[in-house]
Parts: sequence; structure tokens; C-alpha cells
Amino acid sequence: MEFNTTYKLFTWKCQPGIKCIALTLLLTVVLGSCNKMVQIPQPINTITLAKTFANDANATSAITAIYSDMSFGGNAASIRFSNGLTSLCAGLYADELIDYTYAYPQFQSSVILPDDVNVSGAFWNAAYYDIYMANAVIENLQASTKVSAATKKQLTGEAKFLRAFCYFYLVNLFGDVPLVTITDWNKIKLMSRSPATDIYKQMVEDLQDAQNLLPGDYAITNGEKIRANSWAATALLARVYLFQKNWSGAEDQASAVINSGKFNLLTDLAGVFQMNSDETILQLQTIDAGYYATEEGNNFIPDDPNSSPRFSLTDQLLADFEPGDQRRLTWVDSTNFDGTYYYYPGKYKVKIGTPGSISEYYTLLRYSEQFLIRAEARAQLNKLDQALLDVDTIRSRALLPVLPASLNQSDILTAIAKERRIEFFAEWGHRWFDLKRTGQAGNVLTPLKSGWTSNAELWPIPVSERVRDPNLTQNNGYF
Amino acid sequence: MLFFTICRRPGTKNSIKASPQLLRTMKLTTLFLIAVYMNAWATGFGQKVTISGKDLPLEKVFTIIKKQTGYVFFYDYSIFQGTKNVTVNFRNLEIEEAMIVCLQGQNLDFSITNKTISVVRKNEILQDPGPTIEIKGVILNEGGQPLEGASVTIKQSNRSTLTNAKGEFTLNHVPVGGMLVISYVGYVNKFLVAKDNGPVSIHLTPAVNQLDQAVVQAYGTTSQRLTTGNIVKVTSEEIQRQPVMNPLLALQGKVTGLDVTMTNGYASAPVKVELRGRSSINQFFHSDPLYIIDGVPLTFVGLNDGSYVGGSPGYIQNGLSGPAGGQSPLFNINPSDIESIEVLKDADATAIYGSRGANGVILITTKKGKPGKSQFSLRALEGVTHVTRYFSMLNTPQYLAMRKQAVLNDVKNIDPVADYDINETWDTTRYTNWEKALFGGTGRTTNVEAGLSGGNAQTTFRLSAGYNRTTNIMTTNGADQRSSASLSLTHKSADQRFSATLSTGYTITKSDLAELPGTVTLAPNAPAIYDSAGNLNFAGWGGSKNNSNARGAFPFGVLKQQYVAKTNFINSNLLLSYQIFKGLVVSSTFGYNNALLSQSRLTPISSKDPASSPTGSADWGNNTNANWIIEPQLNYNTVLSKGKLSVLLGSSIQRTQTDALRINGSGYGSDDLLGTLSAAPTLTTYQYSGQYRYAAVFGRITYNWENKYLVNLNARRDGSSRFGEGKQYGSFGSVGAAWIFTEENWFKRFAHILSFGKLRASYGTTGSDAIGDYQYFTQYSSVGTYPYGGDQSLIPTVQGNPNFQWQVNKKLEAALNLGFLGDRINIQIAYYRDRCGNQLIDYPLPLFSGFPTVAANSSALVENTGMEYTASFKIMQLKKFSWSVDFNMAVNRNKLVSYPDFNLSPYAGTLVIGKPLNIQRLLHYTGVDPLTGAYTFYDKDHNGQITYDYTGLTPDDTYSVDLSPKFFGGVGFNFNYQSLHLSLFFNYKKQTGLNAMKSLRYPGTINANQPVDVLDHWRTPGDVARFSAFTTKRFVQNNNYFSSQSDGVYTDASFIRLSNVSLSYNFPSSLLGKAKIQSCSVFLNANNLLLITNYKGIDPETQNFSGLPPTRTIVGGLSFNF
Repeated sequence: MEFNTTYKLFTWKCQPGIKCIALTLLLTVVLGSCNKMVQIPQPINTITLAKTFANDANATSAITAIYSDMSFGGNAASIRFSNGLTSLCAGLYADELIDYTYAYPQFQSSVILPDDVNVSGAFWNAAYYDIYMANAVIENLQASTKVSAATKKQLTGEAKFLRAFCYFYLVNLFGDVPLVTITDWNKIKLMSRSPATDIYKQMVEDLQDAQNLLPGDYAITNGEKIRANSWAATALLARVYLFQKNWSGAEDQASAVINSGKFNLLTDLAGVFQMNSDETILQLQTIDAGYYATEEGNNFIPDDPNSSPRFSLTDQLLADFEPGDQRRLTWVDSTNFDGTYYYYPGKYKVKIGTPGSISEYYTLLRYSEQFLIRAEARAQLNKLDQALLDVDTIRSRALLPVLPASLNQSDILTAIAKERRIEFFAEWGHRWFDLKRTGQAGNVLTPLKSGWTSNAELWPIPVSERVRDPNLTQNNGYF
Repeated sequence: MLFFTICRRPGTKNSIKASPQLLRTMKLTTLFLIAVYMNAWATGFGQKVTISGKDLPLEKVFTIIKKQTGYVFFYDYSIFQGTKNVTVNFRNLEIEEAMIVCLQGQNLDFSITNKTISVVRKNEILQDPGPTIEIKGVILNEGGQPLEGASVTIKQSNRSTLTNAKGEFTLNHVPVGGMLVISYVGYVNKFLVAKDNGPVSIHLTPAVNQLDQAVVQAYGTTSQRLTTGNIVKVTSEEIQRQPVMNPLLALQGKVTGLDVTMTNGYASAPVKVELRGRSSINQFFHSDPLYIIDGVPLTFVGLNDGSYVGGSPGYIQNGLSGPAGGQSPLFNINPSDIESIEVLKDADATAIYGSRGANGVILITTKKGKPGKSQFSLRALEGVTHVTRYFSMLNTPQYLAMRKQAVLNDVKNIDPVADYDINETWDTTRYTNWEKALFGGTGRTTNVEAGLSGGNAQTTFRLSAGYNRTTNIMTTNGADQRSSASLSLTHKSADQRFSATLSTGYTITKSDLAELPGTVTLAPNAPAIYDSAGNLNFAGWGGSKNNSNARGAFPFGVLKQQYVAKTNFINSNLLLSYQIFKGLVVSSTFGYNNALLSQSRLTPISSKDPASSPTGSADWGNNTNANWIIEPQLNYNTVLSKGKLSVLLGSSIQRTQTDALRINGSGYGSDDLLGTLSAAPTLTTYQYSGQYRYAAVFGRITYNWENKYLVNLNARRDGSSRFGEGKQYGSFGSVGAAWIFTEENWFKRFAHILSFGKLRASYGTTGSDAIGDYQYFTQYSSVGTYPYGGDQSLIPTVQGNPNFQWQVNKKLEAALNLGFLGDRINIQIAYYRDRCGNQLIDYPLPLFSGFPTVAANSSALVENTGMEYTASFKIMQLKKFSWSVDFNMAVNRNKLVSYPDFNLSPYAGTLVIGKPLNIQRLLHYTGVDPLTGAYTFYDKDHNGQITYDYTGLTPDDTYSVDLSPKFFGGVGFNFNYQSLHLSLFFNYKKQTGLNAMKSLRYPGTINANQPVDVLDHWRTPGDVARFSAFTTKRFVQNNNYFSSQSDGVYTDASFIRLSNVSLSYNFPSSLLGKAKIQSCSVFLNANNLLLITNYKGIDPETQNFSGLPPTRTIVGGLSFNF
């Protein structure tokens, strides 16, 4: 029996002091305030909202982030409404393009299911995320006391411009949409759709504010046309008025741009979509990564002149080019696959660029549009001579003959529509929006698409959104 | 030895009862006997008796006992007056136990002195206690280490005491000849007759009876007999039988109510673990319980943290989760190092973990050294692994016919570009079985382990090391490997009051994997993967026309994009404890774990189509997760009245820091530079970081009244950094109680049938703070953005909400435990009801608000109710042969009980109040219309059209299919024949799941092979067929699209799997003695040997076509102990 034998290797002298320390330690922990223990330092990879709007540099970053997101897709680098997908999908949806990648059959056939991931992700979500960022800038700059007045003015103006830009595409693709101008999720989450007219009112208001807030030059970007200035706001406002059928408004705004003396129509069509070209009013910078080219250029151009096509122009569109049109020669390219020529949009020439020597930026607003806006507005106002002059400006640049002076109002409007079709083919869905706003969509598309219905003029509100907000109604014809 | 019996025949005139003198003589005799045999008394126990019979006179039973044991009885015949006959069924029962059972309710008492059993009337002792003595002693375990807190009870008076740190006890006023019962959780009770011969030393032996074996509980140990909560133990033997690298997979089917699902076939892949049903309405939350390894929780801050279906990606928090979808954190634990895994289920068992126990708690305890001769063990195994089932797909002629028919049906011509599979771009005479071509390989599994353990009463140690490797079944190479080392060290001071235990495990793993191209559905005539030179066959896919569509469909680039993940994982815990005075122990654990994980995935130029002038890219990922925890505790054990009282008071401070970094380098012009970060023309970085702090105080009071009535109270107050100002604290608590009714005296007469019976119940709250960090304020970040115009970009990344607070789960449980025939049959039936309200979720927001989710409390109330049945049967227990069966089954019913303003919630279109969360709201499929060949659906609202309304407003889509298992469990058979051991384990699940048609829903579309089932398709009006006419169109409303939204794509996915077979043979020691080998065994283990299912598809468990399916593994090995 060895229970009382002690090995002397280790003996714990049980001093009263140690007991006390142990007990006190425990009690301190048990009874002491835990508040300190569950406080964590600020995150290291993110900054708080307050810090974001605490100085000019950070606040500017909150605006440049919107352009960056539009141009490259930020975290989810991808093609989206703002960097090429509107040109592509609206082109397929209308009568401009044929999809040989077979990746977009829903747009080609104009039958979109409400759970389409392109519609929800690349159009709806992408645009609203940009709108959120713009709203956050507007709201937080208003509240901020630390950002300088000049910067506040500049950034608020840009945010309003960008918000209007995004809403323009949302309202034209989806019709009525929720008009979100704040960031408080609790107030937004059950919003209903606002009438399109309200969205247009907001766009006008935002663009007028932007005109007042923004400078008339490109000084903040050292001459690069990659952030909105007052001319961008004016140019977009001209378009918005046109879509609202506010003809005199459209005429005034377009005139302002045309008379500004800041822009020129290039005689060399190949240079139009080059970075900071004279003809562009606003472009998105191409980021020196990935393809080193615009997403649109990368997407439209096939691998090589003999590979199978990716997207080709429709026969109807090709037939609409008049002989000798320089745009047909310069802005349309082809690939010869298996003995057949396929023609594709060649406005952007670079599929994969060279790191460090980017040559093309993605063009959002173009000077030539202003002439055609003014032409249409003037034609509607029955200023037919002036309207003809504006159309002819664009035709002449393409080395086409001027239109006969004998044309009546309706002929001139038809000629303008055709000119718009050619000038803006495969560019930002102009064709699709024009067909809709002039009431021609059904006439033109019914023979081309089996099962075309007028319901197809609007895309479906994404299912995922309707699930999350049961107050959202669906467009007619979709479930 | 001196044998004698003093017997007085009844009817003789001197009755012992009548004569105090005689009584005194008897007592003197007793004393005399004690004096004679005093030295041997502690060793004479352990005699077993086997008696069975009905209505046996007590005297006869005594005779049998005497015959079987050689023990001598000492009694007066008069004691039999008024005694009842007994019905007994003892098998190998300790003699003391047998006596206790026989004398239950007989008003008799007994004492055993050496080999003499004295039987007297109870009141005689009580009336005249006679001389009393002070008994001192020490209680030791089998290894000679003192047991602290063992209780020593005087049987006659139920007075008891507890041993101190040295295992010592002192009891005063013990009647001479009185019986002492010594008990300690996890050990067999010992009986001892009080004698005045100085201090005694008692060695307890570990319990063999399952009910009494030690079970690890929160901050302590208990046994199935004494626990008031629901704890399931899985032993190391059960774990080691399974040839799996991840110990979680060894739990499949073993733990009633724990649903363990493989997410894919990679050995390191995440495992979905769900206890007692889904409680969160949120699909972004995984259901993993809290894992605690040797006292240290596996906490990682959820930065890119998995989903309900996919489980947790573990430490991989940078979004680069690799082909396996992450890495199960338990992959870092070598199953052979585990002593036991305990799963804590109800509020009573988990409430002390407070906020983190909402999904249950899994305690993993590693092996520790035992005192005694040093042991060296060696175990090695080697085996093969392969896929067991293939799905029958169309062959080339069938496929081509389907495609051509589809083109014809659509009134189109074969497109020279698009239809490359049938337009002669591809050779239409080729045939490849892509299933076999992709994962038809044979993997190898290797496992080598060695361990050394030993020590003495003061210091014990265990050292072990192991290496495991499992190669992939894919046709490209790749393997999951793990090297592990562990050390445990325990030291106690000479006076036993101070002890220190260190447990450390260190693991290095390497997973070298390639993505499985999701191409079981590739056209069977698709060209080969590699060209004749062994390069990827892009050109071959483009065919003579160099069709870029066909080239673009080439999916095998990923085979050359190897993903490598390396983990270094250390888990260490130091426990210091000191006994301040008898009964009061202050202790603290200091735990630390750290996981360093680095990944790389290279996308070389050679893996891309050369025609697209590709550049190379590479991703690197780094994850560090450091976690420390300090838990000081005060533990007080005492005897209060007739019960044992334990009080635990403690606190917990924890800090976790998770940092994750992913860097993408792109634009590489040469594959040679691919591994070099600095050579990347463009770098994009993604940085994630989370910090978590947690502090709590907790207390537990346990009171055990004569092992008959047990009460357990838990309380905890938690603070967590995951909540905003003023919301950081929450209180949780539970109450549990148990009544062991078989301990009641009035019950003892049934003891021969019902040897153990316990009713227990518990109620309590647990919580959850699993919402991620810093969710309470809005944040901006430049992570993953590109600068614009020379300015940095700052994008909003988190939508803040300062108002969310603790989630509270309310858990109720009631259970009945029964043991029959000396506990040869054990049954537990448990009922539970868990209610989860105030749910902390990522509340889905419409995207037009800017963000998909915001952290918030949902007002949904979700209930899980269920029954759990567990039973074990020792069917045969012969000397040479034994056979036992274990069975368990869990039935859970999940229900969304209520949701205020449900119709305006984001769940209105997906859930239904009163139905389970795992339902799919669907159209009801009514077959193929024989006239048109279109799929038809039931028009529930009779409005003439089928509407699938996502907002839940119109009702055609209200048919619900519940994807939760209806019931599941396991059945195990164990056979022992001498040294041969065979065990079979089946797990089973009754469930509904997706059939193959969901993912293969467009028969006729390009480059998409189909199962042979589609041959039963509609052709002409009048055909009754299972499938619609073939079409190349995916986007056909009311037909293909709706069919995937109908109950027609769901099927019975129930299965019974022979998940484990283990055969082992222990060489007899006579053979081994000469070789100085203590034991040696040879074994053969296999899993997934047999699958019984009606499921159409590769596997009813993983239910997918794109992932690696579960495999069968068969290994053989040897194990030695020196």
C-alpha cells in the first residue's frame, strides 16, 4: 500500500497567497466587465462609411469605383450592360445581330424567361449596384463636413449623371422600375415599380443638377474623357428629352453641345472609338488587365479572319447600308469561315491588346448622336431645312450624298431613323430603343421572329427580385 | 483456508432473534473472521455468478452462489421467515450485485468478509449498530492513479464522502461489517466491508457495461447512466474501422439524429453535417455544429463561408475553394488519434456552450497515455478506391439519332457551325464512355501510424505519428495527403493536488487536385481529350473546319490546371488544475489553434486554346486562422445530504483572427514564369479579414441524489463582438433532470428483467452569433477593384445593420432509457422539439437596393420535432462467440411554424407556412400529353394556364416536395469468434431527391448526352411516353422549362448502404509471446461495399452529375503492439 508514499520530484507548496491570486484572477474574469473583451479593432481590409466620406481622396474613390465597375465589372469582372452587353443583347433582340456562339438564344429569339441570369445579373443588378453607389455618394456627401465644397460639387454632379445614365437603360429595357434614390435598405426593400414617366422626371432633374455642378472641361482627368462633365450631362439630357418627346428641349440641349466647340466629327472613321477621340463626349477607361481591350471589342471580334464567327450582322442591316458608305467599309469587318463570309461589328478593332499600350476606350456618348437628336427634334418641330442640315452633316462624314431638299416631314423622320440605324448599329441598343419609341418594333420584328408579341417590348422583371420583393409586379406576358 | 457454515435449523428452540446474547456471539464471530482474513479482503472480489430461475427460494439461491463461487454463507435460518422467493436471471454478475438484487425488499442485509457472506436482518443492524470504526482509504484507477471525487457510501445509512485529490477518503462511525460502496463515473462499483485494519487501497476497474463507461461532456465526464442530457459517444474502435481520412465521415449513421453527407468524392472535401434538422431559414448558412477538439473550439470567421447545401469550406475563406469546394476542417485530424467523439444534442448537454451550441456540439477527444509499461504500436494499411456505379447514357448512334430528330422536330437544318456534334466537324463514329474516361480510375490509399505511450502514476505520455494518402480516382493524377503528429503529456504533483495536461496535435496536409470537368454529359462522339502528342486536343475538337464553337466546347483545360492546397494545423491545449482544498478545484485551460493554409491554382497557356492567343494566369491563396481560448474554472464537489453536488463556475475568453488573401496574376506570356508572382503583368488581390472576440461566464450545478434523482442546471452569459453597441450580450440556460426509477426499492423486484430504467427531460436555450463580423456597420473596400483614372476605387461591400441581436433556439427533450436483462439490451427513445426564433440570417434584399443581403433577425419561427430510437442488443455472449447488434433511427419533422407578414417576405414564393424549410415549391407534373408530346402540369387554379408565380400569389406552384430525409440511421452487427472479429455497418436514409433529369433536362440540345431513359420519348400523336419530343431549344415555356420546375424531376433517393465492413484477426498471445509482441492483428476494412437503392443516377447521396461521386475503398493492414 503506497498511497502515502510521496515522490519528491515535484511538490506543490500550497501557499495561501497562490490560492488568493488564483481566486482573485478567476473572480476578476468572472465578475469583471466583459465589454473590453468583445470589442474588436476596425477591420483591416475595409473602411467604414464614415471614413469613406471623411476626405476628398476617399470620396473621389467612391465615385471612380462606379466608373471602374461599369467598365470592368469590379469584383465580378464580366461583360455587363455598361461595357458591351447592351450592344450585344439589344442587337440580337432587335434585328441587328446573329449569335453564332449560341450563348444567347433567348435574346436571339426574343423569348426571355424571367429567371434569365444575364437579364438579372448583367443588366438589372449591375445597373442598380451602380445606382446604389451613386446614391451613397450623394447622401453621404450631403452629410459630410470633411469633404471640400469643390469636391462635393464635382462628385455629386458625377453621381447624379451616373444615376441618370443607369436609369435610362433600366427604364428602356424594363419599363417601370423601382425608383431608388436612397440607400436605407429598410425603406427600399418593399418598393413597388414607379411609372416610367417618374423615372424620366428624375433623370431630367439629375442631369440638370449635373449640368450646374460639373465643369465644362476634362481638367480633373488631365484631358481624358473618362469622367462625366457638364457636356456629358447635356448630351444625355438631349437624348432624354428626345425620348420624352420634348422636342424643343432636345433641340436646345443638342445645340448647346454642338455649339460648344469642344467636339469634332472625325473624318477618319477608324479613329472614332479610339481613346479620347475628338468625337467622344464620355468614355470608360479600358483597364490595363485582362484583355487590355474593351469588353465589346473582345466579344465581337472572332479569333482570326478564318475562324467561325461569333456574332454577325443581319442581312437586313447589311442591306440598309447605302453604296459607298464609309461606315460599311470601316465599321464592318468579316471572317471567312468554311467558304462563307460573316460580317461583324468592327467599330472596336482590338480583341486582345498589349499591356501598357491601350488604344481604345469604351464610348458612352458620341458627338454624332447630338446631330441626329437635333435633326429629329427639329423635324418634329417642323424645322425641316435645319433638320436636313443636321442629317447631312452625318451623311457627309460617311461620304454619302446629301438628302434631297424636297423631302417632307415624314420622309425626313424616316431618313433620320435609317441614319440612326446605320450610324449606331450594334451600339448601345440604339436600334432597339428607336424601334420601340417610334412604335416600329412590331412591324419590323414580327416577320423576323416567330411568336413575336408586343409583350416582348419589355424584358421580364427578374424572378429573383420578385421573390425578394413581393410588391414588384411582372411585365405583361411573363410569369 | 477455513470453511464453515453456521446454520440453525428453523424450529430449534434458540432463535437468533430472541437472543441478544447469541447476536453478540455472532458479531464477535464476525469480528473474528475479519481478523482472520483481514489481509486478503480487498483482493477476493470479482467473483461472478450466473443464475437464472423463477420463484427460487432464497436459500436455494444462496446454495447456488456458494457452489459457483466457493463463498461461505453465514446466517441464522430464522432470517428466511417472511422472505419472498426470487426470480433472477444473472449472467456473470458480480457476487455483490447478485446479493443486492436477491435481497431487494427482503428486509435483509448482507456483508461480505473475504469469502464469507453474512446475512442478517436489516433492523438488527439499524437497531444496534454495534461498534463503529473510522475507515481511511485511497481509491485508484487501473493504472494506480488516484481518483479524485470518487464517492464512498455506507450502504446501510447512505452516508457518503468524496475522495480528495490524492484519492483519499476518511469515513467516521462506520459500523463494523458495514458495506461501503465505492463509485466513480466510468468505473465498476466496488464493495467493501468495513473492518478495523488500517487504511485500504482500492483499485477500480473501468466499466464494461456501456451504461457506465465514461462519456465526455461539456467541461467534464459523465456516463450514459448518470447523464441528464443527450450525448452520443463514438469510440476509437468504431472510428478506426472505417477507411476514411476524415473522421466526420466515420460518424455517418452512427449518431442518431446526426445527418452526415459527403458533398463530393474528394477525400478532403467539406462534409455537410446537420443535427436534428435544418433550423435556419437562410440558405447561406451551413448547419455545422460547434467542433471542439480537446477543449479548443474550431472557430473560423466566416468570410466566404459556404452554404446550407455545401457545408462549410473550412479554413479556406478567400473564395478560392478549389475542385473539392473547400476543405473540411476535420480533415486535419487523424482519425487514429481520436479516443472518442461525443455528440451533444439537447439543451442540457449544449447550453453551457451558450451562443455557439445552437446546431449541437461535437467534442473530439484525442488519445492520452496510460500509466504502466510503455507500449509501442504500429499500424499500416494499404488499399484501393474506385467508383461503384455508372449511369447508363446513350451510345453514339442513339445520341446522333436523338440530335438529328431534335433538329428535324424544330423544322431546322443542321447548322454548319452550331451543330458541330452532328455536322461532321466531329467524327460521328467515335464512342467514348465519358464516365469511365473521367473517373474510372483506381485510387490508392495508404496509411502508416506509430504510437508510443506509457508513464507512471505521476506522469503519462503519448506520442504518435501518422501518414495517410489517398489518390484520386480521376484519370489525371492527384491526391490528398496528411502527415500528423500528436503529443499528450500529463503530470501530477506528488501530492496529486496540482496537475498539468498538455495535448498537442500538428498536422500537415496537401491536397493536389484537378477539377473534374462536368462532362459526363459530353456527346459520346466528342473527340479525344489529348492529341497524339499528348497535348490537349483543341484542334481535334475544332475538326477539319476549325470550328471555333466546337473548340470552345472543349472542357478539359481544367485537367491541366492543377490546384494544390497545403495546410499546417496545430491544435494545442494546456490544462492546469489545482485543488485548493478537498472538493474545490481551480483550473484553467489555455487553448490555441492555428491553421495556415496556402493554395495555388495555375492556369497555364498550355491548358487554353492556342487559337485564342491565351495568356497564363495563376491564383494564390493564403488563409491564416489563429484562435486562442482561456477558460478558467472553479469546480466544487461535495456531499450534500444524501446526494452528490457538483458546482462548476467558469468563464471563457476567446479571440479569433482569420485573414485570407487571394492574389490573381494574369497576362503571363510564358508558362515557365507562371509560378512567379512578381512576373505577372497584372496582379489583382482580394483581401479578407475577420476578427472575433468572445467572452462568457457560465455555471453549472449538478445534484445527484443516490444515483436516483439527478438535476442539472446550466447558465451562461455570452458577449460577442459580432453585434453592435448594446446588443453584444445574451443569456442562455437550461435545466435537465433524470429519474432512475430502477433504483427505487419498490422496483427492485423487477430488476431481473428491467435492469436499468431512466426517465429524463431537459429544456433550455442556446443561441447563435454566426453572422460574420462587422456586419453592424456599412463598409467600403478596394478589394478586387481596379483603379480608375489613376484613382483608387472604393466599393461598398457590406450593408450595415446596427440592430440585429442574438438568435435564440429553445430546445426541449424527453427521453426514456431502458436496460433489460442485466443491460444486455439497451434502448433509448428520445423526443425533442427545437424551436428557432429571432433567427439571425442574411436577410435577402432585392438587388435594386444595392445588396443581395443584410444581416438581420428574421421573425420566422422554425420548429424541428423528432423521435430518436437507439438500441443495442448483446444477442449472444458465449465464451468463444459473441454477437451484438446496434441500431439507431432518427425521424425529424421540420416546419416553418409562423412568419408574421409572410406574404411580404422574401420567402413568400419559396416557403409555405406549416411546411418544412427544405421544400421545393413546384408544379405538379401530369405526364406527356399523348396528343402534342408536350409536358403537362396540373392547373391548380383552373385559369387555363400554368403559372409559376415566384411571389407565391397564384397557386399552380404550391406542390411541395420535401428534400429533408424522412428518417435515417444505421445498423451495425458485430461478431466475435475467438480472435476473429467481424463487423458490418449499414446506414440508411429515406429521402426524396433530384433525379438525373433536373440537370439533363433538354434532350436534343447540342453536346449534351442523356441517360438511356430518354429513348422512351414522344414521337407521334397517340404515343404514351415518359419524355417529350426531342428539341434543340432550351427555352420553351410550358415544356422543358416548366418540367424542371415540377415534381417530375424529383424521385425517391432512399438508400441502404453497407457503409463499412471490417474483419480482423488477433493473433493468439501464445504465438506472440516469443516475439515479445503484446498483440498483433491483421485486418481488412472496406466501405461502400453495397448500395441498395432505386435511385436513377450515380449516387443518391451526392445527387449530382458534375462532382466526383462517392467511392468504394477496400484496405488491408496489420497492427502491432509491443
